[in-house]
Amino acid sequence: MAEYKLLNGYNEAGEIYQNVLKKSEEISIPFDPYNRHYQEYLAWVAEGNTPDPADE
Amino acid sequence: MVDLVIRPTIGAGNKIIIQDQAGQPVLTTADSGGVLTNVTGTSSVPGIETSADATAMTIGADESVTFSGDLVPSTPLSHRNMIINGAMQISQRTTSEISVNSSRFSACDRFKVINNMVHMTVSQASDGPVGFSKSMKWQITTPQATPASSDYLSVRYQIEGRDLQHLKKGTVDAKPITISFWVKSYQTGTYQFNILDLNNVRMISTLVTINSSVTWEYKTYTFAGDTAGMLTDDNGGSFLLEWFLDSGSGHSGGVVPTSWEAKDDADRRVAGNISFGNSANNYFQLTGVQLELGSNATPFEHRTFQDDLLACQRYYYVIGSHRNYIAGRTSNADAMYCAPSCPVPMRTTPTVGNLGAWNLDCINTGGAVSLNNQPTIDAYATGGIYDIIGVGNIVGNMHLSGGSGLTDARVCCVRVNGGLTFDAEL
Repeated sequence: MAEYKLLNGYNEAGEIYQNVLKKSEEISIPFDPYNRHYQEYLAWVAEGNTPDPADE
Repeated sequence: MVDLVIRPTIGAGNKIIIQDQAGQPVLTTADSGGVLTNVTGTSSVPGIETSADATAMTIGADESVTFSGDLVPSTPLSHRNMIINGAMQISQRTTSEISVNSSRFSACDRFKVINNMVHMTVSQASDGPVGFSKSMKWQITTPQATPASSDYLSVRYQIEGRDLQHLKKGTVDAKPITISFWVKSYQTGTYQFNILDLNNVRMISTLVTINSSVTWEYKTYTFAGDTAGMLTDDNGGSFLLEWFLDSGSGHSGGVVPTSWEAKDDADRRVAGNISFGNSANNYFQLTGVQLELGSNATPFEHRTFQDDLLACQRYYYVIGSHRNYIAGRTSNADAMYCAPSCPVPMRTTPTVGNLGAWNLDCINTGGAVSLNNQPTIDAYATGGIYDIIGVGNIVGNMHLSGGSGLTDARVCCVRVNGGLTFDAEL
């Protein structure tokens, strides 16, 4: 069980975009490079970690 | 020693006139001899230069000062303080949190504790020096007297690069800045205060001496302008202010950099500083925090509660727990879209959280349908433009799912039974 899990969202055009769930805090993190939680997630990935996949 | 008396002949038009070497008047009295009517040139009175023939400044018998022309100061008259919530008025998350043993925003908005070594209570205290009704307090509950090398404990505040461009950092015209604050501490001795330039990985510091235990003390420190390293003009963090309270060897052992230098972690808390985390008696309080342009601390710039609240909501915003409704539309049989409004444009696409648990319903013609999945929010843009040409006064387009039995593309609303949080803090 990873600390993070990918989430699939859909925009109004029906296109998939992704957030990532931080399980310990139960927060949905957008893939925005200026978001500090996303920056922390990228650092976690850079350490060699892999998030759990999104639900189908 | 006798007085030197110069008295003009009695009669209208007879004045005392002091001339410079070129024969130009630099000081002229009125006919009565009692009023200076003209001071000209650059050297007539040290520090004063004037070209005005008429009265530009009048000092009244009541000690009032009136200017007949514009007052043009070198530093701002308003919005001097670059710190939001410096009076610790705003606490959107909570007013008190116990057993804080991690790095997090808690109690007063915008101030973050960085901690991996103790348990503490973080609170908005109803205690302050005269003129301040609130302060932020960090109280140790489970101490750590022998921190590991990687341990640290500090209080941080970050400022966007956009809000620092007037410092002219990284140019030959770089301006000095002055920090002032009120502090109350159980321990006496010295803490270290640092300013970190996150864009150019530089720092400057000072020691803060606590003279008396359990006593509010006013502190002010001025830092020279830095001619190296321009600050990025965007919505990312450029300055990090840091009250360093305790650490292991990884953040100590260096020398206090009183001039700007390349960041060195060993210089962030030099030897001899107070070890804040070593006893459950210890606490540290701050209020009246002000960072301003120039070499002098001016009186704290009090803002209205609303001004501070709106400024804080650029970084964090809560849709409360008292059944709020947000309009939207259904999507397929199991989901909906909505765009929650916010009082001011947020700094960047926020992280979505909850106050305890997700508790959202889609209200539509068929009744209420629970939306059981975590919401997602679409990141609008990159490059720091989210808040100005992005979504404006909505936090973004949010997708809620996990329902069933909905009809696609119908008007609906989400009922927020718990609270939703939107976090765009630095």
